[in-house]
Amino acid sequence: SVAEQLTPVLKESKFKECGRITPEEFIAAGDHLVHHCPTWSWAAGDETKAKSYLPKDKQFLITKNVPCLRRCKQMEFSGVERIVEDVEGEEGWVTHDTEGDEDESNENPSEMTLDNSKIDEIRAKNESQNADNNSNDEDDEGEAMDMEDFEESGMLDNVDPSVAIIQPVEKKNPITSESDDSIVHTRTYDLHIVYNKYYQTPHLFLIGYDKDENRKLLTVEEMFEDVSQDNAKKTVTMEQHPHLGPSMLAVHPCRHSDLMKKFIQIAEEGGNELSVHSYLIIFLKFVQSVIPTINYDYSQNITI
Amino acid sequence: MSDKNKVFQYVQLKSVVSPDFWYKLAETKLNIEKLNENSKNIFGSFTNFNSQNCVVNLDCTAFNSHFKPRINSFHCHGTLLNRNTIESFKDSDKAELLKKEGEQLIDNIVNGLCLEDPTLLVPFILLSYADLKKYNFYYWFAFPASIDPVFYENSTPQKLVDVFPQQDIANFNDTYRNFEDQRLVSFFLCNEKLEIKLLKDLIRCDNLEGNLKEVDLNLTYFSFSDPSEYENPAWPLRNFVFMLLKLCPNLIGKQIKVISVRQDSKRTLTPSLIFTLDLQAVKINEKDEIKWTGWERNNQGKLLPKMSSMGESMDPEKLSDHFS
Repeated sequence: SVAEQLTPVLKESKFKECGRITPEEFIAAGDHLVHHCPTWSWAAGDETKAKSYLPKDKQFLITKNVPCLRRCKQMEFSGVERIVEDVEGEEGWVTHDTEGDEDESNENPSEMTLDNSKIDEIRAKNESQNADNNSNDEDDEGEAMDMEDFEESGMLDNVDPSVAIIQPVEKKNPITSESDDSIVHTRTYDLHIVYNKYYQTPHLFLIGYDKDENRKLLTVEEMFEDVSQDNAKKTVTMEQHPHLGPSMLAVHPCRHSDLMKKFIQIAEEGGNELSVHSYLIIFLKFVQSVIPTINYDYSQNITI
Repeated sequence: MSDKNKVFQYVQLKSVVSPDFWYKLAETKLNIEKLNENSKNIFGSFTNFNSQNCVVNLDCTAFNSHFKPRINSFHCHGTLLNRNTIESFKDSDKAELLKKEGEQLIDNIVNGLCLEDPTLLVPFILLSYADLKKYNFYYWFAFPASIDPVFYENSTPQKLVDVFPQQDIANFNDTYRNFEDQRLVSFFLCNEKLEIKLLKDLIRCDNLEGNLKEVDLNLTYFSFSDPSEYENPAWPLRNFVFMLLKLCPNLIGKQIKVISVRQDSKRTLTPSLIFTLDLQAVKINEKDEIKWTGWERNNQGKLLPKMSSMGESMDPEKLSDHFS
């Protein structure tokens, strides 16, 4: 954005004071995250879009194929959400009681009690989606060519005995109800943490795939199903990824520094001092309230 | 042994293309290449860290001039052939493209380039057509490999942790993971203490008869970073063995041990395997006799291209719906 271009790079640390970080602090916190959570790594992105105030190889952070076993939208039907934060009189962030229940839910699907009308709604939606998929194969609008048209004779002439045929493992989706219609597809997300120069905070981008359908890219509406409904389309919108190009879901950073400041204060009141190194680990912790069903890795428990 | 005479088999690589790759391809096509149909060198990568499905990943960094894969990932060297029309995409001679790329691989092996940069053993072709009106991308990957030689597996694979002492594995893992130029540990050798030996230091392309002549094959492990999580190794081993047979005629008729280096999510080498290959009955074909294989199959196992619809993240019209 223009505002971002005109904002000077933050040089002095504003971490304690305002909850904001400099690019150097972003790098330090990123190195710390990568060290403690090996599923995260630095990425360079498109070199023509690289930011000069960040090292070439450390433009942003990425973790791939994070499982998302169920839809946030469904979780909220069971009413496990509560409002915990009310940041300075503004509309509060909504969080969910998700602690520990990811594992339990695998063994105990009945925990996800949906009332019948909701089940019907989802079932109807699944059916109509399936119908779409069957009739149009890959493209919703039916504009794409039929891939079978590309079949060629002669390509199978070379028999190759050295190819291992791997049967796709039929992994039972843990969240299925008795009826086959309401199988919840497992999705995977790629998460990206970008440095936002204007807000001087991390900026989370995410993009999702349907794991059960050959890693097909989710539609925007589908991705919004995995965002806490109070944040969907408000704090979470489609935004162009500054290092890659295409648009992805992004958690708007306007409130990050305030929340971070709050965390620092709470820690101080408890006699602890938060180090700027832990910034991203804390950040991921509070962002979890926006995307409660996406199980990304954070290995450290921060006690506040 | 019951497993005797079991043909040694590899799991084919599978392409996974990120949306930002198509975004960059479209940008390059519109602003730079325009109607140019010349082939272009691009990069992909594979990883043996917590890997699934033997995947080769492509994203927008494929077009970077200085390609650096993520940590514990390795270069794949691609030739992008982006066609201007769906007809020329369809009519491209797939067998000829494969042969051309395969012969390039042989040249790189014979002139020693693959010893200097072993990741050149993982080439690919990406044949594509971009329908930029509808943001549909048609594409087909090939990972070239010579069908011959076919050879046999002498025993079931062993686990690395069952064969080597813990301390040797820990030392190896430390050196391996922190190797400055990751490309050199894509394919390499190990001695009986799991010390890394580089291909370029042990094999020469100007004295084939002398290659690995003095080496005790019982104490030598041909090693590679394996993106497979299955009992079979992934495709890249195929070209490695092909190169070894081409450059080290001493190996023909012998048995070799291969370490498939695999890391789990905690970066330990617990999933790593050791294969024993019987190279007795191998036949080395001349360049023009070689039959090439490698076009990717779709999920139904058919030899067909794939298509990605990127309207949702690229079409300004669709995107504006979500901003309103």
